[in-house]
Amino acid sequence: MKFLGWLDWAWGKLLWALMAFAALYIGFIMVAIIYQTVFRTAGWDYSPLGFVLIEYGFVYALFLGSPWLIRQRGHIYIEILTAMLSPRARTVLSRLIAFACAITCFIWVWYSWQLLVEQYDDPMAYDELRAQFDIRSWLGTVAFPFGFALMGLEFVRFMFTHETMHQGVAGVASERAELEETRARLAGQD
Amino acid sequence: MEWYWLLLALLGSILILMFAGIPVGIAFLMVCTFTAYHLYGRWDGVDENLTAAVFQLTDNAFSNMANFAIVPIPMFLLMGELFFHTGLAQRMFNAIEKLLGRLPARLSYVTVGGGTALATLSGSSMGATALLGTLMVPEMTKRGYKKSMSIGPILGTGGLAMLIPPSALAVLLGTIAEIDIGKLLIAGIIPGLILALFYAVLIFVRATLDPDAAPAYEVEDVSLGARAVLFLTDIAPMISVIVMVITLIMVGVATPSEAAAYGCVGVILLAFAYLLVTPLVRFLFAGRDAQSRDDAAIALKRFVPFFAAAFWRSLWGAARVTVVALLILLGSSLFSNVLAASGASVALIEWVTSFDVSAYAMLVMMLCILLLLGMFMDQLAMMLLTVPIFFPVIAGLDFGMELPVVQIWFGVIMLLAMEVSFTTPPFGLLLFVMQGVAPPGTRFGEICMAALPFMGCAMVLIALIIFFPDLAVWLPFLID
Repeated sequence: MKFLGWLDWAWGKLLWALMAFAALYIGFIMVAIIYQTVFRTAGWDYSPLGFVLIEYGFVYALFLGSPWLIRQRGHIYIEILTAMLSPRARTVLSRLIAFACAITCFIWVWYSWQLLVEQYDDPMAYDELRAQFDIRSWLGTVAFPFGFALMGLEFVRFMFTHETMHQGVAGVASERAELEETRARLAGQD
Repeated sequence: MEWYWLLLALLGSILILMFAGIPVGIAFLMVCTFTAYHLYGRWDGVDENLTAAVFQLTDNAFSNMANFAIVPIPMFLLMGELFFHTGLAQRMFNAIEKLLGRLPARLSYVTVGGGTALATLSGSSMGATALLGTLMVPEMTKRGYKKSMSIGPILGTGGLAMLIPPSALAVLLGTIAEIDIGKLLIAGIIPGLILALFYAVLIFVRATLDPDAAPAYEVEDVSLGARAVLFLTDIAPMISVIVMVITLIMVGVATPSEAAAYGCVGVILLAFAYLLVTPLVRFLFAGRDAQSRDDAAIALKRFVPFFAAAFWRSLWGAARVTVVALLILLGSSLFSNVLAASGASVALIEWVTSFDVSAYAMLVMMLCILLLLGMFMDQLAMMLLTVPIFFPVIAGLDFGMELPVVQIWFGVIMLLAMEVSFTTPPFGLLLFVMQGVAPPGTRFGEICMAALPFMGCAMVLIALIIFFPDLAVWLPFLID
């Protein structure tokens, strides 16, 4: 049990680090846009690769940040039914929901992995929208199986942890989490 | 299967899954996967058609998300977070409070004025409501304000964040509906300001009819010169950032993405100016007394760690909402694809336009659906569910306007309807936020009652925009 606890802690830190990459990416977008517009306006040479990195970055940011948000109950889900149930029934339903979510994620892991392999094996599979950069298609698809796998694992975790995904408080989960953060921040300012 | 059964099954199963408590993005993913199986697969095994369909869905999802048009979402969010975390938003709010002087229901006006500015700067209804609730409600309670005059204005102005630019929700709506994001952002300005004016008139009428609801009290007198200085130092620079962003978009010098990035840089420069440059300049040029020397030393010592922490918190906050929005976009892109592939969306449009019902009756029906959904659902989920259906239907109806104009007009109406739903019982988000920050003993019913007149103002504005579309579409199409 002690090992599992340590593993869970380390896993949580890893997901936090992935989310931190997503946060840094937001800063990168700002810098990249300013760099490109300033250079373009001044008539200097600049690399248009920044646009591609920004666009691909959205897909990576989604799959890097989502697992941590699932862990923090940061995605949007509505607690109406779960708030009306008894704690025991809520626990059962919450674990069933986590199971269904995990299955959905793993179905997507399966299909997107197949697509990834197919694109990797096909030397002619290039990103046609950004043809001037010679980007292999699998570079965009690779985020899908890995991201869905991490998300699926987080849902699996909720099937077994003491604290369930649903807390039985009516409302929207992500917004409650954000509200708690805002209140903590305001308390900190006081 | 007939298209209407399929559409009913799609929408019904999404609603059931969401009410069961499944994350919204995942609920859409589930339904889309199941529909792909139904449309292309065999239940006794995986066949090539199904695999090809899911490959296509993945490819479409990638194309829709790897999209430069959604850059304003994280940039506007970052801009708002920076305003909050660097303390600039609160600075402006304090200045507005000092400027208003002695008035009946003074604090309610402060809430509307400051709240509108705060919501505009931050773009976050949640943050603005939480901050206003924490700052203003205890003070108003102490001054004898009734709940309707203290809580109501906060709930009303909190929702303005999604209407007045920079609004991340408007950008998301524009992205999902595939309409001009810049025009949609600009279109929110006049309705947003009218709504703020409605709130001020409402407060005036109530304070006149029932002076005890918001008793007047003595405040420190601030001279006209001091007020002018306060405006120039603590309000004008903040507003100038927003004006810069809007102007850049309006005159077409920059895209919404570029304007949003420049907005972020503007806020960072303002933070430098207020937190570091001002104390140093004061020390160097306005007198080298002990106090200004201490201030300059503290600013030098604290600026870097403070700004670094504020910047990191801002990046984190913006990333958090962006990732949630991206999962929603993923679900939305798949849902639109499945709807199109099943033929349900085309059949629905043909069916709707075949009726001999006026376009306005259809519009009112859609509004009712939005308001009904808003009672139970989050705004993003509502958008995801309704935009892929409503916008094509709206495009097929005749309102006597060109299609791009109709789309922007309907976009503003939709944003307003979502704003109303933000405060609609029993699950209006801002009601819960307010309950979280209101003084102990405030009942949920009191919060709902306080919100009602302000919801009424928004409904009146929706009616005005329906009858006078120019209120929303004149400004964005002015430059054209």
